[in-house]
Amino acid sequence: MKKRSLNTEQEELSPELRALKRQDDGFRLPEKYFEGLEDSVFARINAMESARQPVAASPKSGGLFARIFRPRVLVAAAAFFVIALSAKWFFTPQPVSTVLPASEIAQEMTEEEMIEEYVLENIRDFEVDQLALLAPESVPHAETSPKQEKMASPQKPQDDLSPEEIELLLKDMSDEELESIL
Amino acid sequence: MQATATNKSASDEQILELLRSNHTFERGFRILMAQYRERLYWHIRRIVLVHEDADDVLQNTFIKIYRGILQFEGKSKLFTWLYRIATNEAITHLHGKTRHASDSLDDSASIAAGKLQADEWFDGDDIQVRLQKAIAQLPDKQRLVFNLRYYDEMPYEEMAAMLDTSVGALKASFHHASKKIESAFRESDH
Repeated sequence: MKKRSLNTEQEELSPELRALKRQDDGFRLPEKYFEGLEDSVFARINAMESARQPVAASPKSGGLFARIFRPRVLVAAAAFFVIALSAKWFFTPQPVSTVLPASEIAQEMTEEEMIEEYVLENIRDFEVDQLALLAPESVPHAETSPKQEKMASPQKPQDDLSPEEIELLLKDMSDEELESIL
Repeated sequence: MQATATNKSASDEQILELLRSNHTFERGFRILMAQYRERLYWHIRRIVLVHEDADDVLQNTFIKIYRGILQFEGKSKLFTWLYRIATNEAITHLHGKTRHASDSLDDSASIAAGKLQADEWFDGDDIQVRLQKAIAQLPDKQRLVFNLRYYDEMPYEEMAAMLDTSVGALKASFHHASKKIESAFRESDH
């Protein structure tokens, strides 16, 4: 029906053109041209794809996983982490070594600390009245004998001792020690 | 020689179904090419006239289709969409070639018609050469309408969908084109 209306239209419009259409128009094709066309098209598509994305798969293949874990992305991620770790190490303050040489320790100590340390090490050689001159906080930590502790304790003046305590103290003392106190 | 525009909607559905899956995409695309290659070739050949150019344009057309087929929304027939791509590609090619040889875009088809006799894949007689030269003198849109109706025998409704033009305007365009060609053909006879 459509074909007949088309022919009628052309016949009515231009009989000359209608007559020309029945003749051979002269256009030719290479033999088996269409048979190789598909392969030629795919060869061009593959060449373009490989030129654009050497390591990527075809745009139609591969899912989200394949796209994320492409080698190029993995290399970039690894490089990023190496740089980030290096930067963190570089900008983070390094902790001071806990084991320092004796000379460095000596340098870092103040004069007062050195005196205190000397006193603590040689506390047995000091008299009670000499120890009383030291700062009160340094004495309790000193390595002293219980006898000397009792004698040097600034917390309880001797005047406040009860008779029993005095008696006990005198009992533990030798005659020489008693003489030195008196 | 040339295929007529027939309704292939069932086959189009099958092709599109194959194209939707990664595993069957290439097979679907090969079927699409096999289905439409001849019709698209002759449509392109009527515009660019020379076989070598038609071959180049047809391959470019299929590459464009390959890249854009997943964006095809099915609002028009697949065939209409393919024809539109082929037409744009052929006209772009024709004008691009003319730009190298001449500054005037209007002469593009005339230059192609002039080359026709040198094409080893054309052996038409003098009448056919004159006819092609007369067609080549038409403006782009009118030449396109004439070719689609005269050679491809495309119904006006399909043409309207493809060219975004009303059926009435297309009928008028074909009428004018036919009269112009007839007139030019008679003039060249003297």
